[in-house]
This record gives sequence, C-alpha cells and structure tokens, in this order.
Amino acid sequence: MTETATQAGPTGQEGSPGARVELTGIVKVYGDTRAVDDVSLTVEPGQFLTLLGASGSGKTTLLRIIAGFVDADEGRIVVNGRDISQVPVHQRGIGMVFQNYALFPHLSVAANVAFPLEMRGVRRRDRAALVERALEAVHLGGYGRRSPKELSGGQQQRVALARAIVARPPLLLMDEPLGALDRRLREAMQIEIRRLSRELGLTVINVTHDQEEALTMSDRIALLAGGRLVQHGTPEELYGLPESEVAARFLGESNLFRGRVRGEGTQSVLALPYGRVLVPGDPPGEREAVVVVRPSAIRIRPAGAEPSTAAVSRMPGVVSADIYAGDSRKVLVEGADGAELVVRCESGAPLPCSVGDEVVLEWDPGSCHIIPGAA
Amino acid sequence: MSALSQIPSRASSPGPQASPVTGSDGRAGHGAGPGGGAARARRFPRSDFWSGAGLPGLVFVVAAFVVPMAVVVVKSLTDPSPANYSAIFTSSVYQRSVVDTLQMALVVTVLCLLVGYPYAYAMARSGTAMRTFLMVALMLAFWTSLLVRTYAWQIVLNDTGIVNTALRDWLGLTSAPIHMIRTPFAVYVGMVHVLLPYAVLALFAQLRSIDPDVERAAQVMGARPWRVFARVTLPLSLPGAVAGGVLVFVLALGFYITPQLLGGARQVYVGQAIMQQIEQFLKPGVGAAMAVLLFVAVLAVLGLAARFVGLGKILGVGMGRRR
Repeated sequence: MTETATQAGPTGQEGSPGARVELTGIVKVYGDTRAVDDVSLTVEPGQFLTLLGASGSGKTTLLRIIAGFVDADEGRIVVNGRDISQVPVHQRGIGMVFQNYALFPHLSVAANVAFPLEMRGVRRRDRAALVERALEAVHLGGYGRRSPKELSGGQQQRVALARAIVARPPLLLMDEPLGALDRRLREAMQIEIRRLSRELGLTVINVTHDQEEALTMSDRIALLAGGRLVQHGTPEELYGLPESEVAARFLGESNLFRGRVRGEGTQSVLALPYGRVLVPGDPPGEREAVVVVRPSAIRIRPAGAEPSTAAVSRMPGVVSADIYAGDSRKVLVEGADGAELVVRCESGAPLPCSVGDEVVLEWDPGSCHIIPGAA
Repeated sequence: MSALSQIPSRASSPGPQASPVTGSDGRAGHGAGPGGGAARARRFPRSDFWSGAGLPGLVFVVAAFVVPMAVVVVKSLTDPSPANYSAIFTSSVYQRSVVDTLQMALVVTVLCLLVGYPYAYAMARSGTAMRTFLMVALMLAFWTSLLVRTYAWQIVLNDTGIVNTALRDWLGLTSAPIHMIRTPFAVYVGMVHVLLPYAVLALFAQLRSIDPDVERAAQVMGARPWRVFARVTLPLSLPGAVAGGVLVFVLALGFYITPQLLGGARQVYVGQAIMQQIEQFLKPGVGAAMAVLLFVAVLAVLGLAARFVGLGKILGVGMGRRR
C-alpha cells in the first residue's frame, strides 16, 4: 500500500490502480432475517458500482461486509485475486466515505487527511505534499489548518473524500455519501466524485437508495431487495430493460400492466377488461407477462379522439391530478380499474385536458418493455 | 442523564451532623435545578407551564441551600468578626489541612478515573444485557447507604478484618497485621468506592456519544485496535474524563464521613477541620469561614473546568452544546 501511495501520480495515468472485486455467495443472517442472501457480484477494475435498494434491502450490510466491519456467514470476498474474507479491517487497505463523514473532530483537516498515510507508515515529510494534493483534488487546497467543525456539510464531505483517496486505495467504498447534502450540492458532488474516481481509476462501490444518484454516477448498478440481488447491469439496462417488476418499480416511475399476452393476427396483445396493450415482438403463444410503460412515453388525447396510428395502445381514464414540476409536468390519470397511471409531459406544451376530464392515453408499442413470466 | 443530575445533591450530603458542609454541597443541586428549568424554557418558549413546574424545585433550592449558605456567610463575618478569615490564613494547622485535602482529592480523582475508565468503556461497548448488568452493579453500590458502606470497609480493612485474616491465616504471607484502617489508604479505598459511579457515568456518557463510524473510519484507514483507541477514542473521551474528574474532585474536597471513619488522626481534611472548629473548639464563626472558603474553592474549580468542557457536562445535564 505504501508503494502505491507514494508512486502513483496525481492523475492515475500510470494505468488503472483500481481493484477487481469478486463477491461470491455472500450470506448474512440476523436472527430470522437473511439481511444479505446469496449475493454474487463482480466489479471490474476502475468500475463505479452502485448498490441500490430501499432501506432494509441489505445494501449497507453488504458494504460493511466488504469493509470488514461485519463478518459474512457464508461467501468470499476476493480483491485482486486475494481472498480478504478473513483479513482484519485495518489490513484491507480500503478507502471509505461514511454517511455522516466520520471526520475526526479533534484533528485538523490536514491531520484527518494525513491519518491513512500515517497509519500506513508514510514518512512525515512526505505526508504534507500528498495531503495538500488530495485536498486540491477536492478543491479544498489551503484548508488544512482548519478544524472540521468550521466547515460546511459539503466541505466536510470533501474532506472525507480526500481522506478516503489520499493513500490511493485500490477500492473505495461509499456509504450513502451524499445523503446529508441538499439537492444542488448533491448534484455537484455526484459529478465531482465521478470525475475523481475516473481520474484516479478507482474501483468504487457506492451505496445509495437514491435512484437518480445511481443512474447518474454508476457504470453498473446492482439492485438489491430483501437481501437478494435483483438485477445487475448498466444504468441503461436497469432503467430500460428491467428484468422484474421490482426493478421496474424501483428505477424511475413506471406504469405496469399485468395479464395474459395473446396473439391477435400479426400483433400480440395484452388484453385488459378496459383497454388493449399492444406488445412488441413476435409472440410464441399465450403467456403471462408484465408490460412496463414509462410515463414519458405516454401521450394524452381528448376522449373520443381518433387513434393517431393504427398500431397504438389505448387506455381510457380520467385526469385526477396535474402536477407542475418545472421542466415537466406530471399528470395522474385514473384508469378504468381504479389504478393510477402516471404521465410525464413537457411543461411548455399546453395540456389538452384539465382535472376531471375524460381522456385517452396512447403510446407506441415500441416504447414499452415486457417482463416475461411475471404474473 | 437525569440520574446523574440528581445524584450530587443526594450522595454529597454526608450526613445530618455535618450541616456546614451540606451548605457547601448546595452547588450541585444549584446547577441542576435552575439549569434544567432554563433548558426547558428555551425548548418551549411560549409555554409558561414548564417554568411554573420548576417553581417548587426552585423554592426548595433557595430554602435548603441558598438561605443556609447565606447564613453561613453572615456567620463567618459576624461571629465574632471577619477576623475569622485571618485566623484561618495564619493557622498552619488549617494550611496543612488544605494541602492534605487537595492531595487526597487528587489521588481519589486519579484512582476513580483509572478504575472507572475501563469499566465505563466496557459498559459503552457491551451489548444491552451486559451493559444493564454493569450499570446495576454500579448503581447497587450507589444505592447502599454511605454509612453502611463505610462501616463495611472498617470491618474489611481492620487489623483483624477480612484482608488481614486472609493474608495471615489463609495465605500465610504476613505474620503481623498490615495497618490499613486509620490511614490515608483506607480513606482512598472508601472514597473511591463512593465516588467511582460519578466518574464512570460521566465517562460512559462521553464514550457513548462518540460516533462509532469515527472509530470505524480509523480502522478502515489502517489503524490497529489499540491505535484506534489511542488516536481516536481516548482523545474524544477526554471531556468526559474532565467532567467526571472535576465532579469527583469537587465532591471529595468536602467529604466528611468517610475520612472521619476510615482516616487517621494525622490527616484532618477540611470537612473534619470545620467540624472541629464548631464542635471541639466552639468557634462556629471560624468553621463558617472555612466552609465559605471551601465553597469558593469548589466554585473556582468548577468555573475553571467549565471553560474547557462546559458546566452542563460536569453536572450531567445537557446545558452545553448538543452533539
């Protein structure tokens, strides 16, 4: 570790120092609950992986297992080919950013950032330059002599980040690092963290419940629910091609239609008592399926309007709410079965309806996604 | 923390026969009463109810502590004259007494912190069941009468007591009894026994307030367990050590019963000196002056410490900054 810390340059141009991380069959049981239930994942060097999930999904437990704060009941953690499952925390050589920063309140900013170097035996006279470089990397050059208490939340977060990267760990763990920041700052920090991790070639495992953050920052997302890995893929895959209802519901707003798909002439159709959902693709006979339609794919038309094309899905409903959200507006439409459908329109265009109006919702079959087998 | 805030006024009154000392003990009750009321008033700014609820306590504090203390001050100046004070300052006996008292209080404080820290640490880090056990064990000693405990130590430390019997008859290590009773050693033992809970509770509260993630951060950055302790836990627990230490020190300064029953004739601590003035030398004015000086000394120690850790922390009430 000492060598990586002193030899690697400021921009990581010596090649990717990021680690390859393999998790195999990780299980952690607390009492009756399987907090982490047979999770296997591989993170490639330099990749930014987000563990995404609601609270209780096991994402934090999994991160703590990787860090070594929690022992897994089963499974292996292999970093760069070395099984670290039994290695004590202080020998794992991992960098970590904590949710509440976890800065040492009794030490100066510089001493905080120097701490990992000190623990790794970097000589005192070499530390100052590395500390200053790390602080500059997070735009806090010259803040070294201050106390963490004098800094704002965003600045403290930057110090925590500098402290986590100063010793050039091959793996950086982040536990909801932006949870305590306000929205504007959070978005700025997302970009910042991403830039840093790319420049340094760090392998990052980030934990969040914020799907936007996951979509913005990650190379890969691992969606967890109830301790199990639901889906692992690129943000595009998770958003565009959810493999399960859980994934479709968690990432972005979505309208789900559940039912039997039947062939009707050249088309296949999911027939509902109150409307027809055209399903793209060539159907091999009848099957159960869930059709996912994203709110932005839906157009609102006045009731009785002619279908804009023949090959379009149509669904009647009554507008129940119209929510202005700046760059877009969210319209809630109550379908015939009482379920609420979400539609996103551009806020600039005039809405052809107001609350209480009967409307018809239309969308192109190509814009929806089918989850087969789910019923 | 409410438990701690109530403890001083209770346990620091050494007994009914030591009324001048009780007067000076009013400080602890002082701090907890109005202090708690102020905190409440701030939280419910528009409610007069809570400030009203503090009124009976305030009346009691005034009647039981402020008025007697005022009487003591007046007496020290008028019975027969302010010359009481010069009598004290010119008395080598009293000066010796002050030095002995300070030394005793310091030793007791250090011992309490040394013994109390590991205990508080274990309490802060153990699971709920173990923590409850340790807490009850601590408080059991606390809930036992001071007199009973002190007499018990007499029996234990006597020349024919359990310790000496064990050393001589069972282990055969000594031939003659080791004199422990009526020595400073016996006083230290008895005082540490009485005052340890204050140190433990203050340390425990401080240790519990340390964010576990801060220690985890140190760990993950490569610090072995003992370095985590030395570089993070220990420095962050120091305010608790100061708070507990000051509390123990201040309480030890005015102690009467324990030194009286366990101590020797050579060390006359301030509490005993006051009693002597009143009961033996029949000079209540000089005794009152001593009590006033003791009170002033205690206030000075508290004031000095408050500059570093905040008075609320020492008295165990949340008057200071919240984390």
